[in-house]
Amino acid sequence: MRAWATVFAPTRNFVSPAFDYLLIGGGLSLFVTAFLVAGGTKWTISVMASLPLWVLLVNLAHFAASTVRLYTKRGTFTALPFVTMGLPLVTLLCLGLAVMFADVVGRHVMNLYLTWSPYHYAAQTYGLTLMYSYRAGLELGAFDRGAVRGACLSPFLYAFFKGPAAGIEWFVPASVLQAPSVAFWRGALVTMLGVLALTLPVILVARHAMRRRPLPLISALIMVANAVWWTGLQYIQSFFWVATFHALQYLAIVMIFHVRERLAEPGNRHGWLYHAAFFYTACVGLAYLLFNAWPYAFVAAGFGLVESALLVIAVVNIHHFLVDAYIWRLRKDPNYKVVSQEAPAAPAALPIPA
Amino acid sequence: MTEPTLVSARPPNPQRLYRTLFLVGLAAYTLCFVVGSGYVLARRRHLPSLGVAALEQATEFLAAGNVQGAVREYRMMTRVVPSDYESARKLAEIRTSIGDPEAEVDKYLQARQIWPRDPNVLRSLAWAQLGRGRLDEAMSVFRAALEVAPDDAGAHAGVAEVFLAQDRHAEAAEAFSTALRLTPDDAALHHRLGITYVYWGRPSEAVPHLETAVRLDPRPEFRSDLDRARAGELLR
Repeated sequence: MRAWATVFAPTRNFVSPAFDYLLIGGGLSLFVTAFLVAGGTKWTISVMASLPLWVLLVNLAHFAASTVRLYTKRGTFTALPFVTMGLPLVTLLCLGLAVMFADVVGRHVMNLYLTWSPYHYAAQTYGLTLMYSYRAGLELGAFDRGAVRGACLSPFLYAFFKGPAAGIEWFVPASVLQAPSVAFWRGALVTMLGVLALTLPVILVARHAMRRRPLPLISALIMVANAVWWTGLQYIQSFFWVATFHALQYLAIVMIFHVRERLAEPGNRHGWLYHAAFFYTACVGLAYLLFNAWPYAFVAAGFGLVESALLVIAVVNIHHFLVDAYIWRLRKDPNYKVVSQEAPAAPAALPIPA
Repeated sequence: MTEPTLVSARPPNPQRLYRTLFLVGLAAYTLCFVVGSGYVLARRRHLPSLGVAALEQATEFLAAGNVQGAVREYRMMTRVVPSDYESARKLAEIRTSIGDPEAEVDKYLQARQIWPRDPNVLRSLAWAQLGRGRLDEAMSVFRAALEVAPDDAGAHAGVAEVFLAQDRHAEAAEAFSTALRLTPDDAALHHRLGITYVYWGRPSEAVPHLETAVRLDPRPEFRSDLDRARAGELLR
């Protein structure tokens, strides 16, 4: 036990060890990955991906969650006037233009969303990793934060160079990428980045342990899980599960923040279940309207369903990425109070980008 | 004369602007959601289902016999997601069913965008171009295929067909011979080389190849061509 404590700092869970490790830490995803690799791939993907209700309740609800968080977090209208009041109309106008000129700009909007997506995952991993480190009382200097960022970004770089369809394939013509020498070096780079994505978290843990400033186990787990999603699950073509685990992780942490803030408000008369149910219901309702009703508004206006549905998905994703960059800030933000609750000697305000 | 009075403009109130933008946005989103739901409700008598498939409308168009509508949807799919070859394939299938002669060429042009150095794709595109009578384009793509895969017998045969179509018999015979060195038991190649010699006016060289073609594949048209070549009747 003592040896364990020298390798990992004790985790300050938000809810319980099972909840934090399985959902936020991504532990559940590692079990499912092992199951998929052992041969469960085709069955589980075909069954789960064909359940629209599951997709709505998890994957789509998580996109809406950032918007719900933006408008339910106290003070955002004052602190973020453009994001709360200007961005929705700008988004709508951009989507309208994208649908109108879909045959020209459509693929670029799709590529932007697909290229940004792994970066967004990496940023979420970075934010959660630091969040648990701070809760464990571990103050990370600029170099350590850079090292954590590097470890979190390596799966993004892996996905960027690997493709297919987006990432480097958006910027460099296929005729160049498929030239034998380029294909060889690209393959080598992708392999190296895959290895780095999986090993950097281990190296970080070892480095911190040797300096007697250990990371909490859950921080390491979050980094490993994201790396496994982009390398292992991508390798067996199970992207559906990558999106699902990311969404579960997101929904869990955003609801924790919402519920804790609401419970701490003076005059609160409801329990955690009420606040969680309110938030989640709003997410599901908004997700339904965004993904299931919105595309048909463009169809009613005379556009095809293909461009309407695909570009709504892309634009909602991009909006989600943008909003996340604002709502997870800690500096001078109520988020900081939630992160530092119950944390021993939490450091001074530090940013956690999403 | 009175001095003009300088009236200082009121500084813009960003809060008011933001509030206006927000209200306009809120109204626009509400309108979109109501119109979208209402559209589905009016057409299908139920609210939008939980899963929206991008090609759902294309499938409905096909079922209703609206081929042009389906073509439009699949074509947009290939534009927005150019890497989706399955849609390009389906689009070509639908266009071919309505007699669109460009369908095959467009399908392989899309495939070339995705796999620009795949010899099978290049060869297929070149044959499709040849089928449309575009000899220069076909030759260019066959040559590109041979750059990637110099031993591709199909591409050599394609080059030979282009030469044959241009009445460049000597070059056609040479290219067919190259293809035959790579696949000596290809009956069709022997047949086409034999035909080339006939057009070139060298029936004595044609007959052995036409005989070999019949020996390897005794299909009626090969036999017929052999008989006509022997009788000196074979014309283009």
